[in-house]
Amino acid sequence: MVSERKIRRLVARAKNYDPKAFGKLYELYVKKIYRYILFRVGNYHIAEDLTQNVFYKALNSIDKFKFKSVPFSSWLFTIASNILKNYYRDKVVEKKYLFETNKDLQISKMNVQLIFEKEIDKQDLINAINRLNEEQRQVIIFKFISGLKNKEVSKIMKKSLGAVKSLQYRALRNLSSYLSKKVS
Amino acid sequence: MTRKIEKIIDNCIKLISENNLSIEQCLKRYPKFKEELKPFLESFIRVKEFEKITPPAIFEDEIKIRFINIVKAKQSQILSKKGVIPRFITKFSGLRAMPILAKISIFVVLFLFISGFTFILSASALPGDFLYPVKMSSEKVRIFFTSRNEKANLHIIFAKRRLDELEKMAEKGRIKGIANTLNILESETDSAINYVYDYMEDSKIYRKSNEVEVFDKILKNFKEQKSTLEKIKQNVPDNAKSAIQKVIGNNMKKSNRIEGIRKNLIENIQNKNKSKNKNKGN
Repeated sequence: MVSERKIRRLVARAKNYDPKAFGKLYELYVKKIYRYILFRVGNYHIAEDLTQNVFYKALNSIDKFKFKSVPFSSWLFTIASNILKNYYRDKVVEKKYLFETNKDLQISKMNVQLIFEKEIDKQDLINAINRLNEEQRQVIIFKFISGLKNKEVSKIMKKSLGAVKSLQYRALRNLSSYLSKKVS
Repeated sequence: MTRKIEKIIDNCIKLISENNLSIEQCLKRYPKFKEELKPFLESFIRVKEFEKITPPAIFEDEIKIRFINIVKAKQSQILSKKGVIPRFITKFSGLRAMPILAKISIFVVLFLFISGFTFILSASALPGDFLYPVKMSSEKVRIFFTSRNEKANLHIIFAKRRLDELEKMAEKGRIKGIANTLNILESETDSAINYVYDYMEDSKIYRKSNEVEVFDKILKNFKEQKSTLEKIKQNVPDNAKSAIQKVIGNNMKKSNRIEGIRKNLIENIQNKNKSKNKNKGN
């Protein structure tokens, strides 16, 4: 776990285009960003491309970033979120839910199953996540898949900490409900 | 009640994620809510499994190297854009960490200090000295920034400077630059005279009485030139003597012409004053 103070120092150095600092920030966030994007687009190759775009955009606009109560991670995820919006706009992808049945998404489903080969019900879990509403799904992805903290999620989603906790509660309640129904 | 549960769930999630507590350990902390909490935490643990997904190592490394190269390129671009700050300075001092305004002010202060120091040193430089071009450039700058109606006076001052330089050069036996300095001396005086002619054409800039004053200064300068050049002439070789004599001759002609113009000017001014007084009397 890297302290916020250290991240501030890294960002300050990265603003002066210090390659080591930018490399360190990349290492810290690449997996989180990648997972977030992967769970939004459902395709490994697209996730790689878009993750790359996020860091490229961050590099080009890091000099404009200010720590005015916004954590660096929130800023980075906001970039990712905008890139996803543009991606969906450009591709005119109308589907609301991830991992739906098309060719691209089947690849990701297969890979996810490879990772969790001991568990049969990963697809059920994905389907359950898909059944959540947009905000609940976002909280689940940000918090449990990308590993962000409440403060970071609240800044990205522009919601209060209380609202994030409520969304988290409702998302988990719905998830456990969908999963128990499936089992029964 | 819901709010309380929300807080407990959030706390348990934090304990499991950050302190590696198991679901059971967490439930023990909240025995009253054990049954209610369990399905929430089990769902959380199941979703959390997705955290194990990572991008392919090749992708991660390749992109990292690519980005570091872009950052390096940007860094060198910025350094070359800044340009003013040589690389060795930024490398060995704390300048890199300073904000840009601080850097600029340091360089402005340094520039002013160095240029001011050079300017003071150059004041006593003679033709052929290392700092003489600095002296000449500073005079050009001064003329550029002086208002038009003061330029004639400034050229007279500079003519006086050239004369002093010629005197010192003759004392030191530095004959080489004398011919060139004589030319500059002449051109300084000519410039002063030309500016007075300009003022006479444009009566808005100067009053006639001021033109007479400037002519007086020029005539005084001619007299000084004559006496000084006569002295110098005795201490220089023959080829330099003829050049000095030529300048003295030219000055005599110019001086006579100026005296004539000056007389006419004074007469004009007196006539104007008389006619004004008459008008007032009527």
